[in-house]
Amino acid sequence: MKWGSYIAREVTKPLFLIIGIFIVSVSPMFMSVEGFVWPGLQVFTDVWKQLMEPGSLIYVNPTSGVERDLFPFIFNAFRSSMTILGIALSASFCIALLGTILLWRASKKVYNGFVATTSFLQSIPDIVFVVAAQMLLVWLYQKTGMNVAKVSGAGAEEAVLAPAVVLAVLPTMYFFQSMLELVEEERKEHYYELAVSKGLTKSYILLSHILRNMLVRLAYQAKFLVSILISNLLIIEYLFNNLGMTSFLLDYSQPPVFFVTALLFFIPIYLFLKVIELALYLSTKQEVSL
Amino acid sequence: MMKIIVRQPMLVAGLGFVVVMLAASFIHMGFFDSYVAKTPYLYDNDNNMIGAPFAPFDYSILGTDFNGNHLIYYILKGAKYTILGAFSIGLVSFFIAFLIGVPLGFKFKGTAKIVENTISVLYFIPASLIAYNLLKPLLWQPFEGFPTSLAFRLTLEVLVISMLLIPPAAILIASETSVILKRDFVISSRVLGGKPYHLFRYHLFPHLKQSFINLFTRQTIQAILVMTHLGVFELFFGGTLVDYSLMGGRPVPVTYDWASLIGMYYYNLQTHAPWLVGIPLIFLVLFILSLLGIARGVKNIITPALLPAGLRDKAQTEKSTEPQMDPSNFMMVSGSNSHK
Repeated sequence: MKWGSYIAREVTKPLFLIIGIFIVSVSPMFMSVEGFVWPGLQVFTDVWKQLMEPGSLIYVNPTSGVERDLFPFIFNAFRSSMTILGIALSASFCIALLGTILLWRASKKVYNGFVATTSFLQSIPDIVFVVAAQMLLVWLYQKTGMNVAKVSGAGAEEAVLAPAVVLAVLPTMYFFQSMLELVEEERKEHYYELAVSKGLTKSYILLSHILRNMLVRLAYQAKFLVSILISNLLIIEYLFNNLGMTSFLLDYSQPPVFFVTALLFFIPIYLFLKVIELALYLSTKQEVSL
Repeated sequence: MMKIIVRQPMLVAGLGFVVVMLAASFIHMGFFDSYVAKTPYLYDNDNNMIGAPFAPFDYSILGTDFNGNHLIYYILKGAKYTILGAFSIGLVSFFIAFLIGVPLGFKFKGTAKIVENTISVLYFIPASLIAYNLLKPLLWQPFEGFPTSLAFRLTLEVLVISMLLIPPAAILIASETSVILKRDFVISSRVLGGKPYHLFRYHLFPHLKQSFINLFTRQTIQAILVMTHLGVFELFFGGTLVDYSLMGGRPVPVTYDWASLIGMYYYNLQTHAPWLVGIPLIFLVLFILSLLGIARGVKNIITPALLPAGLRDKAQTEKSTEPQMDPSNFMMVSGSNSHK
């Protein structure tokens, strides 16, 4: 019984999300030059028919008007996006974790200073970081004549390092602030006092007890953090001129193309969240719904 | 009251920035007809002609672009659209989220879960992307010119962006409501026959008041972010004027709000005039900072517990100047150290 309802829930949930993606991808049809319009049901069935034959899907380059097959070309874009996303996610997580461990022994004042700074930096628009990074790279090039990282590029010469670093900045701030606050909360728990009174060293308590509890609570925010990452990825790929998933979502977007791209984007991220959920359940026996 | 406000420097600074920018913008529109000064070239001391762009503080205070337009006038012209636009998106989305979220919180099971699942698509597809696809037909000028008026486009854009920002906020309010509704005092009030309106008015509202300020600030900042993204994608607030002539220049905004200035000048970033992107960005960041400052100040005022000790007494005594003694002061309160 319990397993039955569990499977039912896990199957319906992504189904609703896919319906949501479909709604979003047909939504531009409700808007015309003159405001909202009702396009008629015919349009939706057309989109649906096109989706049934994914092999025949094409995308149109808006400037040249050339039509090309969507598959398998889209997988290049997919790889590029996922590389940047993966690097940024793991880098920001590691940096924030390292920072948290280093700050563990810091004084209250320094600690609170870091919390305030990170929460301040979070509210700054992501474009500021992109602009700053591009300016810095150009400036470095002018001063030293050294090409530290590519500012933009195309095809095989695509810039990867600079976008990934810029993409990592904001999530690092979010991770860092949440980790610092959660660690601070864990420090108020009774088990911490007990451990201190037993004479365990502080670093031991941090590494074997607090971090574990902190990561569980951090996982609840995973969906939110992923949403920030994706929203930043959009703007960063656009400004660094990368041919990623976002160019299909922005420039080449007819409803079927949008739907396929969004779905392709959504599946690995959803699976990633599910893996976190499962890992948490196996290691701590706590059920998290992401 | 005045005294309390003045004692909050962040509030004063934030409010000051917003009010000054708004006032200057409206004066610029009302008395100077949104005039934009233009200096395409100048003569230096040796009578050599030098051309635009001029760096900030060089000739004009915020510098000029490549055509010699003074940036300061663009900033003034766009201030009212940026500030009022962001505020109205924040307000509309906040109020509708409130109207949806509170009833949702009262029965946060079953259907609410389905709605939440469908809506959490917004976690995977960024709002600015949906806004871009949805607004492109409306805001990108067609070859024949806009068939719609500026006011219509502004209203529709505000509505669409608010619509996209509502679902996460509504879910947040709903979950917060349902958390409060599970507390002991609400349950006992229910047992004693409290109707939903009573619960809302006397138990929910006082608790939610705090998070309302946070939420409103968050919504407004989100609105600024979406507007900035749209600006970078050259979909400017209020419409994009496209030059369809053969020698066509870059797309130009209608309203010159700060986000669209960034988008308009972005291709100048790697030339020798990077201030063209930097200055509108600085103004946007200042706007966000003043919003945060206002939020912090207001929060300090409505919750005296957070004020420094000296002010806290004043804030309390101002309400009732003479402490009245009545029997209720001497009632036994269980767990009396709970109100800090």
